Amino acid sequence: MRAPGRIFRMTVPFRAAVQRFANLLLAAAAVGLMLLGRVENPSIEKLRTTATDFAAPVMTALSEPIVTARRLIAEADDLLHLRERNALLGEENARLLQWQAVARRLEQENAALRAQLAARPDPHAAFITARVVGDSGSPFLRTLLVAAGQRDGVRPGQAAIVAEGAVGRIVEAGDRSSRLLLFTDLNSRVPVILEQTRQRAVLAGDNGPVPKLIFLSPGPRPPAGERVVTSGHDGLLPPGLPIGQVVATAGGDPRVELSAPLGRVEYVRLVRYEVPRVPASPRETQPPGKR
Amino acid sequence: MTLGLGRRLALAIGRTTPALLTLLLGLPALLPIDIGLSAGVTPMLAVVATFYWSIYRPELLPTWAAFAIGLALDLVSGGPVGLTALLLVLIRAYVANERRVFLSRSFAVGWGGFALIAGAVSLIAWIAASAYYGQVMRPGPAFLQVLLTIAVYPPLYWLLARAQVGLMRQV
Repeated sequence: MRAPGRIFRMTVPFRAAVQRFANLLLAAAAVGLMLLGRVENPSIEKLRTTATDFAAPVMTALSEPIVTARRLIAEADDLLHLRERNALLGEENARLLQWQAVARRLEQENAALRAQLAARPDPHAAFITARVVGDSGSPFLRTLLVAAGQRDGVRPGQAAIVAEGAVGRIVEAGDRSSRLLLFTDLNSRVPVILEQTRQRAVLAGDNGPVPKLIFLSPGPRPPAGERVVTSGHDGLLPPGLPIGQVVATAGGDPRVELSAPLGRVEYVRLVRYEVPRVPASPRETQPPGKR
Repeated sequence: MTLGLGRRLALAIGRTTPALLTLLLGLPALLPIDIGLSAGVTPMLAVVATFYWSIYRPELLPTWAAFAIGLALDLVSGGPVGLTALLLVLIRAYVANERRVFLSRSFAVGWGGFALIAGAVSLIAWIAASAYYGQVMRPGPAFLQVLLTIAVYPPLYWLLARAQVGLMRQV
């Protein structure tokens, strides 16, 4: 520590005044930026995507040791439970073989029925696999930073899935990085459908681990364990992506436990899905049959 | 007399240590590490670093540097742009002003003071985030984050003191 020198002491009042003014100015600038961001100013968004593009390679390098450590732990765990896991996998394989037979039969039946009805096939979906290199680090939002961007074909709105199910959708896409809004985020609203009862609802995040179902269409309260999938009604996410299961809650809105382990997502697959669009034109207001 | 290259390099490293360390300490929170607590709850390491340098070397972490670091972290985190910048500016401005109080007292007093400031900063962040998103944030995770930050203060203080002794002897 250096003691304040004589020159310093002489200029203290002046310096203090300048300093105080600068502090105020900077604090005001920070608040101003927040207000600009609040009204979704495009320049703030541009700044953000530029910053993440710049940071993504750094984050990738920094997350490398974590990935390695995680892999080592998983490997050790595998070795420790080799026998149990082997038995479990054998059982599961036998069960899946039965399901394979069922799926093949259904596939053929489906194809035959579609042919009879001349049904239009669903639009083709392609995938982009990308590494997760960052998260928000804040208790106020649930986002992930993904190391793939516009130049890899990532666009805002694309769904992100992992092996267990869907986890969220892209909200910002930079050139080489993009931000993924998880279903648990406060701002996430996704139209879903319950698999058995076919009730529609909106899956709404609240930053907690289990998002809730709001605007549930009339019907019985969904039982715990009921599977929840995307409905595709937002025109963004493809329909039928598995999300999770309804969990038992005492009261209030039913909640959904996501199938995907959000804390341990290493890679995501982004779905490039061409959403069928109805041409928006005044003709739509005409009675059907006149077209 | 011009300084030798080695000495100039040492000086440059020493002078940039506070700002660089503060920025670097902001990064671990942004990495996808699940520490087993509630999601998104990570210690606010950059807050500890800003507190430390505001007491011991405020001239090497000027308010504008605190602002720039906060802004950079905000842009990468995807949260409200300006929130971390505001918090770090407030800490730097307040603590540097009151640094004599901390300089003359024991470590425990410093820790207590930090606990109060971390709590205040978190409360401001909670209010600002609630206003920004137009919804009352769940207070639990924010509270947990403060406790975690207070808990990591002693080891981080030791680490920063090491860095100050090791890298900034000539500055």
